Amino acid sequence: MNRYLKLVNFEFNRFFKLYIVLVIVTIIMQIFAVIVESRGYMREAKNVIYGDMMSKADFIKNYEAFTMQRVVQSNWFYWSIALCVVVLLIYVFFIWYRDWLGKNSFIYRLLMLPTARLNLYFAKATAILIFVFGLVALQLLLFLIEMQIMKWIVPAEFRVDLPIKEYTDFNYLSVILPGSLIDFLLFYGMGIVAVCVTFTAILLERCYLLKGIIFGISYGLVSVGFFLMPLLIDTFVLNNYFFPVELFVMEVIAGIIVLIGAVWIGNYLLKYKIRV
Amino acid sequence: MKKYWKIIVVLIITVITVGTYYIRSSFASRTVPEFEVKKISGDEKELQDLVIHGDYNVNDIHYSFKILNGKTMNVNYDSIISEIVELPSQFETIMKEYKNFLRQKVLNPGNFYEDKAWLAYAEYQIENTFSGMTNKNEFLIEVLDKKTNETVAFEVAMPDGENYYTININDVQLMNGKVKVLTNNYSEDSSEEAHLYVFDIKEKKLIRDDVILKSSKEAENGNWTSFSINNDSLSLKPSEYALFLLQRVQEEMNENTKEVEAKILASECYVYNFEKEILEKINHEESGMVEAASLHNSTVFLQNQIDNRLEVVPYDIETGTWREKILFNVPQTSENTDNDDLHAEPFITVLNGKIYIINAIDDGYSLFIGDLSTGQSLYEGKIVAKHKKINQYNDKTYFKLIEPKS
Amino acid sequence: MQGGIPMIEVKNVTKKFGRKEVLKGVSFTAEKGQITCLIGINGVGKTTIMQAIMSLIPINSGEIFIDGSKLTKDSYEKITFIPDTITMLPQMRIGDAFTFMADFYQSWNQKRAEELLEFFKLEETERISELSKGNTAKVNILLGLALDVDYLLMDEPFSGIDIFSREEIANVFTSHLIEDRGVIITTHEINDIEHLIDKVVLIDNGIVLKEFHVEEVREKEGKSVIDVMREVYEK
Repeated sequence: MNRYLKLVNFEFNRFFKLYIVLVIVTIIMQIFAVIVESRGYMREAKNVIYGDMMSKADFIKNYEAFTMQRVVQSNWFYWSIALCVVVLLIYVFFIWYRDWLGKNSFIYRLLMLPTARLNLYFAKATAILIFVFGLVALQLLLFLIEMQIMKWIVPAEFRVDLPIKEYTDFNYLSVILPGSLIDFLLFYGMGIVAVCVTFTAILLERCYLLKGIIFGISYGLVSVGFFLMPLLIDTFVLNNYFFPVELFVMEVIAGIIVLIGAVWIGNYLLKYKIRV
Repeated sequence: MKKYWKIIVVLIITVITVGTYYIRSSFASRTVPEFEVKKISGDEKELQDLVIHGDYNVNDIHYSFKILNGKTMNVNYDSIISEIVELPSQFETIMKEYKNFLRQKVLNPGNFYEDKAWLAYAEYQIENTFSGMTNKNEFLIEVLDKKTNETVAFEVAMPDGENYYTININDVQLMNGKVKVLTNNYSEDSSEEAHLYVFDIKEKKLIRDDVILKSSKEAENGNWTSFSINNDSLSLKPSEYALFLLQRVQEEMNENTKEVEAKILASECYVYNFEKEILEKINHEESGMVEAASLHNSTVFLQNQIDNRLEVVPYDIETGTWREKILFNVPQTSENTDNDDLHAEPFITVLNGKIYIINAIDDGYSLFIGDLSTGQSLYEGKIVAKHKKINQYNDKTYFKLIEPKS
Repeated sequence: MQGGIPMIEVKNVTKKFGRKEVLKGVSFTAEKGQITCLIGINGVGKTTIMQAIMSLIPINSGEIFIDGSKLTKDSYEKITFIPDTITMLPQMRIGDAFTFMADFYQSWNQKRAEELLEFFKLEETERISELSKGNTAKVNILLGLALDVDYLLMDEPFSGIDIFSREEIANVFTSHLIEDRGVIITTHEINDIEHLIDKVVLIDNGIVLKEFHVEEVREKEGKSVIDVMREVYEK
């Protein structure tokens, strides 16, 4: 346990510099988004009210009140999230491959540590999880700041102040910030399963090289297929025999089985088949 | 210990932020929509333990709400699971006792029938490639005998299946060993027919196809007829009658708005008797024009708005007699308002001898509760939206159900 | 273990890389307290054998025992491998590498590490990526030697190193730092270390051609290691 924690800390520190850069870029992009959208709205209001001589009340009626929904759907904001997602996705792969790169093969050291090799797997997965949740927390804090900035630029009568959940609920943000705790556990639980399946696929490649790429991809597809099996069987073979709640339970179980499979295969590969 | 500070700081911030957010959101309730019932006159005890269900749509986002005792009920933010798992409430008891009967069926109340002894289901299947059945145009009928727990299921090929491009099942009734299915049949020439299909359970076949009503094909000279079936389609309970409202419509150009409007020239009310399989027209010339009609048990309520009054005329089907006209002070909806809902029909329901009417008015919704036997108004109030409107134009509220608190 | 002597036993190990069979049944032992040298031409599989002993690559068949048992995670406190590349992150400073080792290995001897650092005339603040090839090799060896392990595996410790560094490293072998540890070392240049080693394992064509003790052969047959090698390869 102790070495696992040390490994988690080690993996965390390795990526930390880049992580901070990512955080700063995200902050800048989103603050930019809020300022641009708010000021753009007020400019439009000014044009219409003073230019076309529409009354304030009519403007609000015809052009819609300003809410954080606009900010959240703007390009700058959207791309800040996309950037974070892409960087973390790449790191899911890179966190392994970086140990094999270059002349200094750190993988030697990792594999020779007096600790269960599975701890390497868990530590990397844990680090990724911490990075992801850290960004989620960052987003929540950014929302608070952005709402305040919005209030500074857009006067009260032009805006509707919505609680966070109401402008994240019905768009792409509901995947990152699900509405309720149960949904959070579900979505990120699925994410953990996906990360582990990816890890195991990577390990397959590392163990078997060229053949390994095929193994890895096949394994990934099999995992996805197994996970979808309850749904697929129910729809195509059983003619929708099961109720949604029953399918849901089956899917959760399938997910757990896929997770256990990924971890078990990963452990086997790390212990008996890995190569430097 | 020093080298752990970075990860510890990140973990602390993350846990506190995300934790606080989700703890708060599990206690918080939605601010949108929020409604309040303000009393104008009458006894507010009428609102006690009364739940008004509605849907609120803004910018294509859909919310459901409930008003209890005059205030919006706090609804906790639901998780996706509840949406996946949710069934229409009418099916809850059947789920408990006859779960397997509901499998592989479309869970739409209109397709089901339930009484003390029987459960029945009807479905119209067009092409169904996924299920492996490639037959076209079939009725699937299934009946469960509650006492023996045995099911009878059979398929019947539809006569003239090609004539209709879709058939919608409106209601299912079961009586005397026969399943009777009320449908809307749509043709490609845009005409519509109401049919009653009668199936014999023992013989497992279709024994009768009755065309109840037809609407006209395309508009001729801007003129057409259409009909609506005004049943309580949310209920699975047995019903003796079905109510039809047929309207003749003329398109006219509105001088003021330069828009084409549909003007109702005449409307006719029909009652269909399921047992006898006969359609009867209700003669309501005395009551004048009928704007809307609703059916409750064996009473038809015809509605008509004249100036500031809503006239409700009950008609007893069994005796074929009219009862006293009941007048309610429901303000006329003005044409010059921004309330988009005004063009929707008023919501009217009857519960325990009282009539409940929710009608869109200029700045909200009027709520009237009247005593049907005396014609007295028991309560008048106004339902106001307390939430701020984001988008005036894309903002709609529908009231769909009033029931006592369970 | 044979006769109670602690040793590393390699038994009939085969290893294929794709279709090429590199090891075709290699067997030998390396006792604790002895310096065993694996000799063979480049690419014969010496590194492969070491990697196999450390469980850094899988083998196709055969068995490897360390002090009578198979390798487990705890074995890494008892046996260490010094490959020809440095096993630390390039951006680390030497001091950071020490911290890392101290963190994870109970057998890490900080004092000895600092001693060796002084011996090699290096500083903890130096960054690994900025070290010369010779110094990198020294740090690499240091990381292995500073562990209180029973067995040290060194892969080509002298290759590509300048003469002065080579001398420094050779000095380590004769010092108290090696003493009663078991060392397996590979090289294809026998000249530098002939006087240091106790045992020779000649490998060619995927098998062990001959396994012998240097001292014994010199006394009994009057031959040097190179003489034996010439004999064996000429067959």
